[in-house]
Amino acid sequence: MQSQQLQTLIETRRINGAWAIVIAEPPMVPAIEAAIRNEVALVVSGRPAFYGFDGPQPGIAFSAIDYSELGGALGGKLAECLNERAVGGKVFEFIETGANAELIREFGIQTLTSNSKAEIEIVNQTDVRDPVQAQQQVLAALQANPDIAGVYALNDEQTLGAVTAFESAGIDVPCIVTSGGGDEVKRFHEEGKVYSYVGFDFAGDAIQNFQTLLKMMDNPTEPGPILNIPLVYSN
Amino acid sequence: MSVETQDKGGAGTSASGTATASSKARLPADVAILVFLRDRGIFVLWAILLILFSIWNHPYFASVPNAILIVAAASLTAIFAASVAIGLLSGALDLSVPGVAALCSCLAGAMIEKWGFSVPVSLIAALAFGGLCGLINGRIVLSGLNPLVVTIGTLSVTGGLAAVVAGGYAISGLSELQFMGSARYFGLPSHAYIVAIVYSGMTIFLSFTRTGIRLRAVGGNAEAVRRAGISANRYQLYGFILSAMLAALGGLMSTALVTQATPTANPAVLFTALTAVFLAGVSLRGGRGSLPRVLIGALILATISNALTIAGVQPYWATITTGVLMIAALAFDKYLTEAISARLVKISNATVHGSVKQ
Repeated sequence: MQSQQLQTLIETRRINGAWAIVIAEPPMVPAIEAAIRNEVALVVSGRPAFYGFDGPQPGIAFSAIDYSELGGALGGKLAECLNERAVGGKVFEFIETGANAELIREFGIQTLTSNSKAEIEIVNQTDVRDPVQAQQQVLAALQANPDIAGVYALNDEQTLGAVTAFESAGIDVPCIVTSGGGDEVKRFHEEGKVYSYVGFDFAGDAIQNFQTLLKMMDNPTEPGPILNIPLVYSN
Repeated sequence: MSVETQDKGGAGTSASGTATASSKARLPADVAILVFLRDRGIFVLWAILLILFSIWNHPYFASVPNAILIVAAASLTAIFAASVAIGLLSGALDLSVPGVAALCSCLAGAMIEKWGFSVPVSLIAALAFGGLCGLINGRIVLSGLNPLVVTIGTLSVTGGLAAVVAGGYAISGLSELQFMGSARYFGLPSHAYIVAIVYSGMTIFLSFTRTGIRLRAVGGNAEAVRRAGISANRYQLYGFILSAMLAALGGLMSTALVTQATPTANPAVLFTALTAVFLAGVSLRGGRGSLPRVLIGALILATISNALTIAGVQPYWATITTGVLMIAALAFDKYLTEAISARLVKISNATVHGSVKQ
């Protein structure tokens, strides 16, 4: 739906509330302003600043993905595994490009370093999206660093490549944490090959947003909350 | 298989290539050196890289386990590169390779996991379906449409069909295919055997069989072949079918390696294959090229990636290095081909004028 159509529904008071997953924030501003004027409750994705607001707004809830929280959770889980198993601090790090991925990386490695008992050494850093390439990169890295203790992966393909690389090299799979959560990764986790997977709980987010929306519809003049999409942990 | 044997098969071989092959025994020293550099330069380049990386990454690089890793890593690229090279040798650049690979791997995955077919039947069906994709590509192109546009179209169609067959998600748990994936036989990865069989077979086919020689001749100069009374279309069609079947094989090998069929047509596969092919000096205009050199091209790419990973260098440098190498290889090939042609023309002129004077 176009933001103009939503604005029309709000201005004509045909709705009391709406949840909008916004693709581009600036064109949505008139619709949000109309919702505030007409006391229509709205849950929109993003943060107040994305729409030019300096804080919470009456009847408007902002729901956003917190990539730094995801990074922190991944780093924390990897540190937990390294500490539990006392296998050293050599880590193979998969990365992705983009501002969000940079946030995941920054907070992930920061949390890992500060929580790990062993000194963390990133032996390789690679950006691949293909399981075959991921497998080849890990296998090559194992030549110089057969004592890799942990793998920090950001998606299912990297995880799949890492697990099959260690299996193919005949080395016990080390601490692998990932933000992927596909069927294969879940199976690896059940088999003990992936220590933990962390992801965004979009189903939980939907419930959270609808509950917030219903609550705000009862009193749309109260400032709405600023929400985070919750994380889901494998263990 | 000698490179010269491969190079003299095509009717469309460049003037210098034909002349150098037929009069090799009488070549002047400077021309012989240039010919050697053009035909064997890639082997020299690989040798230099191996030596440099052995020193740089001592003691990890120069070891048997790492050599096996390089061979394993090069295998997939080698199969996709062979697919692209066969297309080029027969006169058409087939860009649908990643789509056909994804479609055929998903088809095999679905047959095994969803529809309960046996592994051999599924593999044969997937390869045959690859051939069918090639046949369709070829038929459309031979009706007079531009091969680049047609194969971009079929890339899109096959990529979409792969998602349809797989139901939108990767088909995982294909451990039945491990025998042609991560399995090793006598210490060597299964992929190495597949590559050895494919390259030996294809090299013999292209160099010693009438069909293979005609296929390359069509790529070099389809009009000349037509005037010789040979059906150029039929051999171009063979090129498309073989290329697509090799793409299907690459898709199956990739699936076997990670026991998962992914319905994504990965364009990186095509670009890596093209890099290997151009490093090997296969002509975009068709007809000229050698499969053993393509294999070395794939090995060079795997060697660079492996060495940089061992050294802990960021992966972007591998792509930068291979890009620079590819452009340098093209420039080098062009320079050498022109230099050989110029010298041969000079010799030819000198001989003709000398005869007239006598």
